[in-house]
Amino acid sequence: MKANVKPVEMLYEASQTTLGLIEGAVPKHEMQILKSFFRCMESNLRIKLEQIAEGKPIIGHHFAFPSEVFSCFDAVPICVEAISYLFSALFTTGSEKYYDLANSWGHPYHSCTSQKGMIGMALEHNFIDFDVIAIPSAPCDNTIASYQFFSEHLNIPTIVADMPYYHNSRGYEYYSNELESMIQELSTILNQEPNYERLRQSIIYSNHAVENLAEINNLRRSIPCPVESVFNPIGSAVQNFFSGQVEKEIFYNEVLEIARERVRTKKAWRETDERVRSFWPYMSVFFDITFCEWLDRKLGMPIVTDIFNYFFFGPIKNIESLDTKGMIDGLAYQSMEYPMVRQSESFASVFFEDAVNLAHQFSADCAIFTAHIGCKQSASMIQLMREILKEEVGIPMLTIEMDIGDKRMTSLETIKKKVLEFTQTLL
Amino acid sequence: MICGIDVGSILIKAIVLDEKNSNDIVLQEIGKSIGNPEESVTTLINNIRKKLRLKKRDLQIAFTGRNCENLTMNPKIAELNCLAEGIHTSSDHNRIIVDIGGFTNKIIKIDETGRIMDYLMNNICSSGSGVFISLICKSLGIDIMEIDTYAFKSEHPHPISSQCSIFAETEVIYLMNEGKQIEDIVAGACKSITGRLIPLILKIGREINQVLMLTGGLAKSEFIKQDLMEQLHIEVKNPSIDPIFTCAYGCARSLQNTSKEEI
Repeated sequence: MKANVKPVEMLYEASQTTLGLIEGAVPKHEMQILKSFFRCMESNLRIKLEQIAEGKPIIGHHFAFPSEVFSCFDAVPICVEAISYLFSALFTTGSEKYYDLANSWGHPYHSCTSQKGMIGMALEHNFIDFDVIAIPSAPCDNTIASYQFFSEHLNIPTIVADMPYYHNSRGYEYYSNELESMIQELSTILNQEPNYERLRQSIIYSNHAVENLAEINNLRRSIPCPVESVFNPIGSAVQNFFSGQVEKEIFYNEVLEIARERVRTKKAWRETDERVRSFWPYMSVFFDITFCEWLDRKLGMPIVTDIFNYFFFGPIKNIESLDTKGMIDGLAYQSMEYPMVRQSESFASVFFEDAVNLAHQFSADCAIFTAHIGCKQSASMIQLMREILKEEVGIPMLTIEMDIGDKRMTSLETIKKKVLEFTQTLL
Repeated sequence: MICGIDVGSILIKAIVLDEKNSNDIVLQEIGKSIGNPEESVTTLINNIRKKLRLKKRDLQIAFTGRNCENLTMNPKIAELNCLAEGIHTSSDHNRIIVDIGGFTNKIIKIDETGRIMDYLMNNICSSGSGVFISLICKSLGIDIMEIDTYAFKSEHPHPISSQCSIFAETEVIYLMNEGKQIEDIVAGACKSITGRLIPLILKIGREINQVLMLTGGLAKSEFIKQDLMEQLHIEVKNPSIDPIFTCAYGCARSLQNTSKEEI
């Protein structure tokens, strides 16, 4: 029987039509990064759907997971959170209907919408037939609690890799063993032997992506910033949806070329001059990515970086000659230093130090913190973050309470108004 | 003459200054902004010209406020900057400003030159702002101008939920049905406003040991002022001008200070 993958099919159609529209209607030199993203998205989804049609098993996973490990198996990895928020970004109706279904079923209204989209889809019988789900015990309790819906209510085998609190050599070793156990469990559930040469290839793709992102971030330090703000929300999608897949390497490669060209030619790529460089210690808005265009074009306020678009780790070294344990050790380390996990799963000081470093490195004039209702631990640090950025970098921070995936909590108009007022006090 | 018009969420406030005569306030006018702000502003401007017998070229106007983005008229000056300028130019004690507006509360910290150093605003819910107390008064059947009269009579202020204006309104109806005294409900509502303000004030003015300047419509409430003083242990004052016109005043002064091209 054919697996139900309607949400993936819907996203594929949306990516196809959006790509057709922007490639047909938008001049060639405009919105290049968005076009690149949709080309990769369309290709990635098409391949996933073909593989599912061939009968390959589907592995659901959490965004903060080294999904490269799934390439050991002849299976299709799909990120649960990415589906919820891609719906939110690409469809005018968003994921709101699904959040409401999850809420009315009994899931708390203040829990994170990143999993609630998929919970709602399941309740509407419009779900993805996952064969197995694999998640880390990070970056928050909310996440683990939400995944219980899939394991307990839908009876999907769910494997949890226990991530330790301490980010030290002992912790990395422990998590590496957890990943190894997870591969063994997956092997049993999927009835496949792990193929570690495929894992090596997947890490090679990821290594290139990590190197390219580092180079992109170097270029983003230029004034004016050569990369559109929309890179931030779509970059988050790339991180989580294309991990360990060739599209991630292709996307970052194309963005790198665009950024290099802009820095080299010093050619203006938007009409508005750069007036205020904003650093977003948390995430940008997902429910309407036109907001980023508004920041660039109307305010001249690029997002120089955010939590999801900077890696605090390098590529896994000597990948060509590494043994299996070495590869998994490398992934365990990257996974524990992964965006958001690094800041949320350990001492709060890491979050503050990273924010201060990034604000300095990217010459930020201000910070904007999206206090996402579902993310209690990050929102609990707002006041300290304000004070630290003020004292150590000398920049003000605006806080906007919202749900990054639900436009009803704080509307785009309200967000724009707050950002505009903030900008006026800076100029 | 110079005119600053603050197009707020509920009211439009206009102030006219005579720049040739030490910036004396010549006129203060108020109108409603709900519905069609453009039309209301035009009517207000016409009334001002008529009252002062001014020709169009004799009145220089700038606009500010929550609703001024919707106007086609220019120039526009940022509301927070106008509030800062209004307090800076009208008062000696001017480091922390607390503005209780129709829909928003703003806490602004300024330096000795009037530059904004930091600010905070309430979030998406208007709870704790002017419209919150309006809804409560409406439920109680009293005039908003009477809140002090009732609140000062209260012996046992009844706490009211301050998380949401709609919840608070519902709560008031329950309390009335339970036979609670109106004065206790009003005092409780005023205290819930200060309860919303104090955390914001402490967030950006933790070290405050100076005078706190209270502006906006509810700044006229002595009860709210006294409650803030008691809870924060600092002096709370109104500016020398009518607190409801502070932003309009700052707008006029900013217009005076800045050439039109720079705005």
